[in-house]
Amino acid sequence: MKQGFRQSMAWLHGWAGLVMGWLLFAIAITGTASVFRPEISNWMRPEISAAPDPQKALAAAVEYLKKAAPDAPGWYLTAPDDRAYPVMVAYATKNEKGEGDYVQKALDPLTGRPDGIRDTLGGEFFYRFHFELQMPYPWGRYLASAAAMLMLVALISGIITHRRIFADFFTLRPGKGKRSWLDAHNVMGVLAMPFHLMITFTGILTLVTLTMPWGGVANYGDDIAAFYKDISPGFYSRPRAERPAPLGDIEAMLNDARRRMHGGRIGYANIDNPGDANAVLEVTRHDGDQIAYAAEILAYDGVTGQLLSQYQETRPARKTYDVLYGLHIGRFAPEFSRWLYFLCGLALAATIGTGMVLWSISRTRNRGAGHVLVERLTTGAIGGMPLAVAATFWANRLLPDGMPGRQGLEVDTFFAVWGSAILFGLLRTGRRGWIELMAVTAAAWLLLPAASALTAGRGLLSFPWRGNGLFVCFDLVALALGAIAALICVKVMRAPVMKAGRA
Amino acid sequence: MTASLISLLLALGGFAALSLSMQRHARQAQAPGWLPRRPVLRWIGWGFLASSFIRCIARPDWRLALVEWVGALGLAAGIIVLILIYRPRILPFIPKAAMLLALLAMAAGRL
Repeated sequence: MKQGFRQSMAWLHGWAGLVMGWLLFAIAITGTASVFRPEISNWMRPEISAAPDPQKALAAAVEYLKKAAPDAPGWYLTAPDDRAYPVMVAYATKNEKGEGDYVQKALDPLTGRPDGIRDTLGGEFFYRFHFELQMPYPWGRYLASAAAMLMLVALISGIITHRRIFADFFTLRPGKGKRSWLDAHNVMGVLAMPFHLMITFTGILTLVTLTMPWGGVANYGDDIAAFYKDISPGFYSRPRAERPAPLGDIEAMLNDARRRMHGGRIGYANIDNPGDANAVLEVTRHDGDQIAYAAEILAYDGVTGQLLSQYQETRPARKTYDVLYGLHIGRFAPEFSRWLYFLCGLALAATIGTGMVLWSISRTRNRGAGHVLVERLTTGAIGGMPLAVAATFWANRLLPDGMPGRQGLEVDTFFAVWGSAILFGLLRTGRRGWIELMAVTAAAWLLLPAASALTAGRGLLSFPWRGNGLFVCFDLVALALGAIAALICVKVMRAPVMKAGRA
Repeated sequence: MTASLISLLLALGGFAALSLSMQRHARQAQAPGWLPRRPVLRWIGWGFLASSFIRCIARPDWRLALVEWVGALGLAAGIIVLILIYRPRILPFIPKAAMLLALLAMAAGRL
């Protein structure tokens, strides 16, 4: 009976993993990149440097918004910090056709202006793709949720199937074909198991109001606004007075907010009804100050600077959610933990990747068209993903400034390269496909620091390194990833040909 | 940072001892005669891990440290796996070296 249970779990593990495996690999890779979202954004905007005073930078950005978007119903600002250099601003506007449009811009933290900064999404692209998959709302989020749920199924069935967790804890036997793949799959799955379970579970939770809305629907019916108001009572809103009034001293309000948060950093500053007598400034505490996400909010009268409300989250249910959400995005994590998140994320991606390869090499007998298709799709969809990420960085360095639709072209490059890799993998037989794809990937990552040095002049090849630590670090990671790709290329070339029926 | 380093070193020592307490890996490392017997090694390994845990949560920011510790455990175990593949014979020296370095780091942190 026990044997039967294990076998059915192994069957479940194989199929739950396969169905969304390619997508899960892409989600894992972009999620891992999102650990360093601010750093990647900085790298992709080499024109700007760190701001000495976030409050001054926000105030300068508000001065810019007064001229650039005086009629917008609200301005949404993300404060710079020691990790993210620019002030990110967003506001609603109307395009030439009179349709509603949403503008997002990076502003120089010193001048408060967007001039001379290249048009790019930065690390935001990987972050968005991680849970929206570049699909229209809400379908991408539904698909990502479904993938995460299958991931949880695969993890739990995998733990049950793997009966020698402790005996094989340290076991990795290289150069033994399928045995080695299975060892690698197990070791990377088991050693980072707490992370894998945590990140999958909290990942499902981040989208839970979308996938399981019933609690809210049952209690609030159609009154979604009241539901969100009760979830986040800290947000202060009031209608426009329809009387124009100039904004007060924003910098003074921000400094006051910092004092009231006992020195806590400012994360977001939103201004509702700017230019109106009922303007409101909402200050949200920085996510990096605690594990819980966005736990403290202050609201000021935007004209007089008077404090309207201060809210600190204390309700246990909401706090639990905030902590779980915060654990997922790991923005609280100090430097060492951040690298651990990155490494564990890579381990998860590698577990998925090796799992996909294992699915194919476990089915070498009586292969049908489906088996061949899976094997070849794996080559391009998994092997091509790191290349697509590298290509995005290349596009960021090579596309000329001021080109119309530049940020969209960077994104297009990602999909064009990933798509081409998938097509290439389908046309080339498995082994040669891997070798060639990995060779190109290695070249793309290894040459990226040189391309960056020639076009942006910051990084490993440009002195002095002082003030450019982030760029030097980025180059080192690029070289490391290139080296890994080169290693895989050589290993696959030297590996013995796997014959049908072996292993 | 020092506290993280000490936790990581202790975890490394712990996993080295635990792996040596397993017959397969002891053979791989060609375990020398001066090593304690395998059941003792297992106790030493768990002792190392426990002290790594205590060092970690004795910090004022223990909530963050706890998250970090779980990740650090994985990293330490991963390093042991790599050592077992490429340099298995240095394994018997890891617990001692880790303990020494952890004590040094602790002393340096006090200065």
